[in-house]
Amino acid sequence: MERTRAVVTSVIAIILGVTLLSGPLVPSVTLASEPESVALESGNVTVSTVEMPEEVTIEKGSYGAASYYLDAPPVRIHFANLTGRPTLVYKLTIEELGYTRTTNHFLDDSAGDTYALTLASDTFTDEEIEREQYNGTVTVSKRDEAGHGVVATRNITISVVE
Amino acid sequence: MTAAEFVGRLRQRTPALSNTRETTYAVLFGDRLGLTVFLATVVLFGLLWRTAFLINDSYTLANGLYSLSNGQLAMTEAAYGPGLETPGANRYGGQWYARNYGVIALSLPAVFVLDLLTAVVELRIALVALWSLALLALVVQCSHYTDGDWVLYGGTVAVLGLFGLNVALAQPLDAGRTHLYALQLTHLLIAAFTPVVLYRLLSRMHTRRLGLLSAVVLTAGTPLAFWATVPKRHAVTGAVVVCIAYCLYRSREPADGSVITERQTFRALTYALVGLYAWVHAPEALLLCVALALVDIPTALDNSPRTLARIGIVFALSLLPFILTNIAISGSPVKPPRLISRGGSLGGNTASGAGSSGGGSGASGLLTPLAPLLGTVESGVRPLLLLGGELVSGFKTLQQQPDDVYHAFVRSGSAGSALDNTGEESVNLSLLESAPILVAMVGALPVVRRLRLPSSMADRTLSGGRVVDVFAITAFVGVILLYNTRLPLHAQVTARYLFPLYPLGVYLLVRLPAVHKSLANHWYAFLWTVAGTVLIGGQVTVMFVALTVNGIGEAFQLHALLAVGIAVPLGIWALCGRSEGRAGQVGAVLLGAATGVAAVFLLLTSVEYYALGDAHLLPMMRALGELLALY
Repeated sequence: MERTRAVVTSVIAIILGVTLLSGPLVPSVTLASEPESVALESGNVTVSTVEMPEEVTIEKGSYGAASYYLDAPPVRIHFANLTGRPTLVYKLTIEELGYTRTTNHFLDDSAGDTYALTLASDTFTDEEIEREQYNGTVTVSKRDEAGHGVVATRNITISVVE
Repeated sequence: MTAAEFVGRLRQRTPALSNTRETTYAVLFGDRLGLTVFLATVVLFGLLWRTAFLINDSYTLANGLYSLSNGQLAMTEAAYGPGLETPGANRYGGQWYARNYGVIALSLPAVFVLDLLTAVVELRIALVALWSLALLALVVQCSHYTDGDWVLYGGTVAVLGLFGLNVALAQPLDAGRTHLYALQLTHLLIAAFTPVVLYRLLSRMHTRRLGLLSAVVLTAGTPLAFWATVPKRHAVTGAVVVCIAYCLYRSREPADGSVITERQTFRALTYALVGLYAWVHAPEALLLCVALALVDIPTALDNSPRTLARIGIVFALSLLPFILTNIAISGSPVKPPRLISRGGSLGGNTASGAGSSGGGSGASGLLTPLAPLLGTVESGVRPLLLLGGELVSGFKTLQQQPDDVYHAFVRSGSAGSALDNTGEESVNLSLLESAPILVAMVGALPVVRRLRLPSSMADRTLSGGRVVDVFAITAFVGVILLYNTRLPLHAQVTARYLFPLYPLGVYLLVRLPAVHKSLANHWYAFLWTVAGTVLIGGQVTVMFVALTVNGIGEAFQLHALLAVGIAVPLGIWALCGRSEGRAGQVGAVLLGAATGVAAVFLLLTSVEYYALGDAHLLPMMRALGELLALY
């Protein structure tokens, strides 16, 4: 009984002690720190090949969901050179819907030689989707120390899947 | 009372009074198991706590608390959100006012404590430490139920490990938003008492084991944990209905407590709870008051004028904070900052009602002596008429719009057209999809069929259990009718307007003989199924979501289909109404699976679907949310 009490008391003491350390009473210790802000659009990226998606679809929601979902396959990127923290941008435009969607990818060393550049999903309502097919444009662009530039662009058919 | 009697009574009470700790313990938690339920619930709610605004309405409460903590009843400055004109805020005399002043006032001490902590320590570490201490207390309580000290030693090591992990991953918490955290903390603590009181109620009616299992069903099988840290009335309503049920039960049973020694006190307490709840949300309090009076008065043992007068006085006293706040804001004692949610017919009627009461005060010159009395009667009757109208139109909706009722209660799915916010995804689940366990309530049908009315109706005093059953059914039906006209509606997530139905439903289904016999006889199978569904089923669900789902609407509908899928066999079992042998085992497994399916939805919603910018209070949950990217 004595031993269990001692164990519990010491754990409480450790928790309270660490908590006290975190405050302004002990200014030299910082326990909770903000994530380091990184310099974006730094370094350099050179793309060797780009595999654009063949087809983008707008699919009726599965499991009985009311909306239509945009489903754009990722763009496969092969790098010739990657340093620092450049940005790659995936952009889809559907002019007939007056619709544009972009997703930014902040690259770093962990990206490797090839990278799957994805476009975040989005939804449309029943009223918005009137046709079975739309024409769109997929654009991949980069932002690094050398500036902003288009890497590749392609016209694409967007089919609606009921 | 003679002097000797007085001394005798005092002597009887001395042991209780001398040990304040024991008394507080007994009053709040009942027994050790009640405390364990409380701690487990607090730890769970802490895991799912996100320090962000889930819903715009909470801005109103946070700004109201901000102003009140600066000594102002009116909202002076939009410290949170886009401005003062947020949903639920109301304008009187050129100034904006919040609502739910009851919880705002209750949150004031929490603001004080959090501000104090901010001055001395880093708030994130302080709250992580509080959560770790709650977990440690849970470990200590659990170790009392096991032989040997391995639970204690293993548990303390785990607590230290988790505390270290959280501190290692910690990022500072914005110390300027203490009003939000204070509101969340208050709601969390109130919500944590819902399963505790349900445990106490059912352990008195049946056994402690059944009480504990019901607490598990309520906490894991309904969206209680989702709403616990959301500054809205829902978690409070749920706690209040369970507390009313508990006090109502105690008012019919011989008093055996250490503090309250008379049944009448519990009876008065039920009304006092309703009166205090009016300070949070008056229309629901009115509904609960009507339901309570309809059930309590006809079935009470003693309705002498003296007893009723005593109850009336206690009720009037409990209404004082509500009335004083109303007078300070609108000048009228019964006109709260917002009588009922926008869009309802009651809301429209209230506005016109305010106009006519203005005219009434002009006529008061003629009937000066009677005017205050007439005014009180008139203003007391009008809300009742409004409530009656709302209930009737809720009943009509049942007949006229069966599609809407189906979407609100059974299957939400493509109810997009019914929502007034176009473009919103299918994230508003029906009642059944949110808590599939509730389907077990159809088990009432075979019970009713077998029910034989007593040969004589002369004995109108029901037993405690029966009174609470009737109250729960009345409140259940009342809540459905009150909100029926407005559902399905956007921004409900888990049919939140119907929130009181979750604790009431769990109570009612556990009271069914087939359910409580299956649970009590096969509790092992039930608990293992809950654990298995959460741990294994949860992983399978995560894989399904990652592979097949493109967005939150599809994810919600996947969970909805899983819920309906388990509700069908559970409903069939409940309709059979058997609990002997194999049937009981099947029932326990189905009840466990329904609880587990809802728990998986709750966990994934808090960690992934509504991560609110990975704003989890606990750094380890934030890290988990960042790791999981399912669509």
